[in-house]
Amino acid sequence: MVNVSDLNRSKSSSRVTLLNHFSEGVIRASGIADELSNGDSSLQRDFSALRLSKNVALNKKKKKKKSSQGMYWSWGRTQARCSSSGLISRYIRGGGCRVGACDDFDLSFRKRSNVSEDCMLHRLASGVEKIDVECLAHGTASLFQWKISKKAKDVEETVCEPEPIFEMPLLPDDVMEMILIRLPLTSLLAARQVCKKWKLLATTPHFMRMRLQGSYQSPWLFLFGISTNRSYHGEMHALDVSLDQWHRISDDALKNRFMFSVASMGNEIYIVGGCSSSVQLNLPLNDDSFKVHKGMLVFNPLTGLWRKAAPMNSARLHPVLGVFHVSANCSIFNANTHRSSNHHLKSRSFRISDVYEDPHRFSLRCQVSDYLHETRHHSHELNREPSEFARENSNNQLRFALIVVGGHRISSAGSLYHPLDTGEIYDPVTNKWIEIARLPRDFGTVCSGAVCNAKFYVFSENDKLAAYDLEMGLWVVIQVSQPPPRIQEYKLNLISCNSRLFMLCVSWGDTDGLLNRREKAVRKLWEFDIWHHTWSEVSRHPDAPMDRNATFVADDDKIYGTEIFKIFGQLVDFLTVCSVSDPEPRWSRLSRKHALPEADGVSFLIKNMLVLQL
Amino acid sequence: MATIITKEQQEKEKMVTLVSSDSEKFVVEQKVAEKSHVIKMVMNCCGIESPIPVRRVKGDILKSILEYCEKHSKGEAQEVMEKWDKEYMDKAEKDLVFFHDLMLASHFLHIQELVDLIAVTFAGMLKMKSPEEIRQKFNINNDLTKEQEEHIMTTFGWAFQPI
Repeated sequence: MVNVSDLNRSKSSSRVTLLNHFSEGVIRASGIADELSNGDSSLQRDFSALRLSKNVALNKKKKKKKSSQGMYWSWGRTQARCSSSGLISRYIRGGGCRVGACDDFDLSFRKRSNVSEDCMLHRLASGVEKIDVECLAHGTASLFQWKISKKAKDVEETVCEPEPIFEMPLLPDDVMEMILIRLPLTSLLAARQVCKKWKLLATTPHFMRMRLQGSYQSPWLFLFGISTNRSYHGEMHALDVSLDQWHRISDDALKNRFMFSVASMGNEIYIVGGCSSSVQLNLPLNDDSFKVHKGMLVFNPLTGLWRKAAPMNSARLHPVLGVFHVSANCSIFNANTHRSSNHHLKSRSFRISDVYEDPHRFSLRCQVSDYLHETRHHSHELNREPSEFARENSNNQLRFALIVVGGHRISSAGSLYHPLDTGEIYDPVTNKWIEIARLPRDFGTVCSGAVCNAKFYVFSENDKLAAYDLEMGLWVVIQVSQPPPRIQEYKLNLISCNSRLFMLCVSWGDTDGLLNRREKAVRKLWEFDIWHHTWSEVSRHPDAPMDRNATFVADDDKIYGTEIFKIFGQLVDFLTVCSVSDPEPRWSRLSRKHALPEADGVSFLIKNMLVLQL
Repeated sequence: MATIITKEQQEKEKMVTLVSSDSEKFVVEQKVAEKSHVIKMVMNCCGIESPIPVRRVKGDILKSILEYCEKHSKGEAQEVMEKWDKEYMDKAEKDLVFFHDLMLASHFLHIQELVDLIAVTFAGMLKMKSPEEIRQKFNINNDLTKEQEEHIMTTFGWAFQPI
C-alpha cells in the first residue's frame, strides 16, 4: 500500500522529479502544469481513491471466487467515492496529465500489468461506456504503479490492453487554444459549434486578443448598401478573400438606412450617420420624410452583436471618416478631461480656422488667448523626465480614435444638400465625441479622407489638400503645386496604405490625337510625397472606369476596389486588388463570383466598403 | 596521445542517454536533446553523465521526436526543412492517437517549433469541416444545448452558408 509521504520522499530523491519540476517552470498554465502544481493537495485525495481501486484489485486476487457482480458493486462504490472527490474520475477517464505527479513514486517496483487490470475493472464497471483509460495508459502507463507484495504478484493475470480510442478533448487547454487560434474565421465559427469546451476556449477575450496579435487573420471585404427594389434591407455582403467566398449577413439594424459611412476599428465595424426612410429610396433625396442620423451603430462580426454608440453632435450624410491609431496617453484624450465646456472648444476652433486667413493675426492672438497657456502646458510636457515617459509607455496600449469630418445635411428648404465643414472625434474607450476645429475656410466640400502617419488628410472638391494633426489639434492646408488631373464627375478616393498616402482618381488619357481623347478615361493611382508635397503617378488601372462611385479601401499593403455598374442590362460587381509594396504595383481581379445578382441600380450610388482582418 | 584521449572523451561527453517511459534507451547528441527546453534545463542542472528518464513519453513517440530534433539541429536550408516537415507531418497525422501523443509530448518537452508545426497541421485537419464532421473524426460528444446551437446558427448562420 502506498502512502503519500513515501511518495514525497522518493520524489525528492528521484531524477525524474527534476524533469517534472522543470516542466512546471517551463510549461505555461497548461493542463499538465496545473495538475503538477496542484499535485500535493490533490494527490492525497487521489491516492485515497487509488488505494480504494487497489483494494478492489487485491480483493479480486485474494478471493478468486468472488462473483463478477460483486466486483461490479465494489467498483461502483469506488467510483462513487471518486466522483465525490471530483478528481479521480477524470484521471481514470484519461487525464494523462496526472502522471507526472505520481509516476516516480517508486521506480524499483514497477508493475505494468496493473494498468491493464485497472482497465479491465473499468470496463467491467462502465459497461457501455467507452474505455478511455488507454489514452492514459498510452505513453503514460506508469500511472498505476505501486508496491505489490510477492503474493499479489503471483496471482496477477495478464490482460491484453484494449485498442486505444482517440479523444481530442484530452489535449490541455492551451494546446487546444494553439490549434484553434490558427483557424480561419469560418472554420473557427464551426469549431465553436463542436462542443462546450471548444466554444468556451474560442470565445474568451484572451483568445481573441491572441488571435489578433498573432496575425492569424485573413482579409474580409464588407460591402454595404446593396439595395434591391429601391429599398435596403440592411444586408452586408462579406467576401472572404482567402477562400473567395461571399457571405450575406442580414440584419434589421441597417434596414432602410442609406448614405452612411463605414470604418473599422479593431474587429468592429462602425456605421456612422446616414439617413433612413420608411418609403422607397429616391435619389436625390428631396423629401422631408427622410431623417438624417446623428447616431452610430457598431457591429462586431466575431460576436455577431450590434450596439449603439454615443451619437455625434451633428447629423451627417456620407461623412468622411478616418481612424487614428494612437497611444493611450495621446493629448486629445487627456486634454478632454480638462476641457469640459463646449463653448471653449468652439471658440478655440474658430480661431484656428482663422489662422489660414491671416497668419499675422495668429501671433497677436497667442499673447492674449488661453492658447498660450496651452502651449506652455505642452512645453511643460516635453520637459518632463524621460523616465516618466518610459513609465507611461510601458503600460501603454494602442488605441483607436475615429475622426468624422464633413458630410452633408439636408437643408430645411428640403431640396438641397448642405455640405458641413465641422468635424468631431470619437473615443471608443470613453464613448464620447469631441468637436474639433472646423475645416479651413474656402477649403470646399470634403470628398475623401485618410489617416496617414498620425495625420488625417482630406481632399476637397476644389482639389485642395489639408491635414488634421491630432496631437496639435489643428488643420494645416497643404499647398500642392500641381494636383493630379481629374474628371470631377468621378469620385476620388484618398487612401492610406503602408504609411503612404495614395489617391485614386480618373483623368483623361494621354493625348494621342485630340479627337478621341474623351474616349479614354483612365483611373490612375497617385502617391503623395509627404515631404516634397508633390503627387506622382504610381500605376494605372487596366480597366476602363465604369463606375463613377467606385470605392477603394486599403489594409496594410493592399488596395481593394469595387465597381458596380450596369452592362447589357445586368448589374455587375467588379472587384480588383493592387499590392502597393510591389515595386510596380499591378491591379488584378479579386473575385469572379458575382455576389449581387438581384441588386438594383441605386446600389452603385450608395454602396460602401471596408476591409477587415478577421 | 593524451590529447587524443581527451578528444575522445569530449566526443563521448557530447552524447546523452534518454530513457523513455517503457525503458527504451536513446543515445543522442547533446545538441539534439537541447532542442527540448525541458531536457536542456535538466542537462544544465545535472549534467549528461547519467541517463535522463523522460517518464511521460513512450519509446515510439520519443523516437519520432528525436528524429525531428536531429533533423532540425543540422541547420539545413529552409526549403529542405519545410519539405521534410511536411513529410514528417504527413506520416504522423495518419495515426491520430500517435499524433495526439506527439503533440502532448512535444508540448511537455517544450519543443516550440514542433508544437507549432503540429498545431498548424492539426488546424489544417479542422479547416473547411462542418461541426458534425469534426465531431466524428475526433470522437467528440456534442454537449451543447439546443439553445446554444440555435443561438450560434442565428448569429453566425451567414458564415456557414456562402452564396
